[in-house]
Amino acid sequence: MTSGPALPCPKCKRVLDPLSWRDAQFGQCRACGVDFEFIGFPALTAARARVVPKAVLVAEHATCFYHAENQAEAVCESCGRFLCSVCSVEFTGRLLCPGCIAAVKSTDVQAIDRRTLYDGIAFALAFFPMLVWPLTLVTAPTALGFVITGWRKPRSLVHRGRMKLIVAGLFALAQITGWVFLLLSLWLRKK
Amino acid sequence: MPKSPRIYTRLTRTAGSVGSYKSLWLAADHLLMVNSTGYNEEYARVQLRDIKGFFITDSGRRIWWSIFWGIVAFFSALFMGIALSEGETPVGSVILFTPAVIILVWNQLLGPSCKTYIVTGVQTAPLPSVVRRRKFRKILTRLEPLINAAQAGLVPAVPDTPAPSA
Repeated sequence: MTSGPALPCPKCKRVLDPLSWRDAQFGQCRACGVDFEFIGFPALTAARARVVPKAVLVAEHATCFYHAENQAEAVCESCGRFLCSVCSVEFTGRLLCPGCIAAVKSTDVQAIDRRTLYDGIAFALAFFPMLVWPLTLVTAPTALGFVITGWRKPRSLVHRGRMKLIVAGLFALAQITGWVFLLLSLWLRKK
Repeated sequence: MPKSPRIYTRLTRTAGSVGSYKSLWLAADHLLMVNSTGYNEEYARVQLRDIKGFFITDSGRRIWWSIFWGIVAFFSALFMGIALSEGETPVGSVILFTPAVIILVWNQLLGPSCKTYIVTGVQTAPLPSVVRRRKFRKILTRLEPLINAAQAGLVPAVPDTPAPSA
């Protein structure tokens, strides 16, 4: 037995004790009995950098926008505010202040946490109601509406094409055309 | 309007569960875990410099799928045999038997199944889109140099040594 890092077991979440490790890579949790393999990287044993702000000693020192008692050590790359080491955060490759991070989070591609898929909604509305085709009287125009509104909306971060929107739009248009012909022919027959 | 550059490259194909589809993508400095319902997507990112390691444990996915498709193949073969012995054309059984055998073989070819977890300083999060050991090895081969490069500047922690007693 060799000792390994004190990490939580992936299954039961209890911290793995040294006896759980057979060698540096393999082991078995002594609490839940799950066999595991672990592949580690340098961050496992790396020291954490401690952020210690510098206090203002001389009145002429520039101070942090958020902490008047701390010396300014950086400038926000977005708004230009002076920041101490606590407030300057590297975010999506830039040094930003907390206020700008909050603003960037909703627009930056690398910080967005969810997206509505208008193409998926339009596609489902155009195709699934075909199983109960009278529903398409309502769903086809709705699908077309989603195609039009979704055309300029931000799309998925990973599937970025408009193919689904195009297919859904064409199919919805075909359904609407079908309904127009059907209703027109019924109306003309009545006349 | 100029097309924005592609940020993400795919690491895994979509792995589905009930009502959601999961996939894993790679950017220059982070991994992106995508959880999609088809109508919206949720994103979770893990910076390469924060990854402490990966846990891999066995899973019964391969066995359960083999049992399921094995039963389907067995019964469809049985009905096919009965139909043939009675001089009928076993159309329905063949339609069921062929995909069952293909999926059964495909499931075996994909190799042993596993559950994968990513370990960072604050979490041990599952990677539901990585379900086969062979696929994980492929991903690891691709990720290892990137993670090591991202963590090249990290300094190993020096364990606290007790002060010498007088």
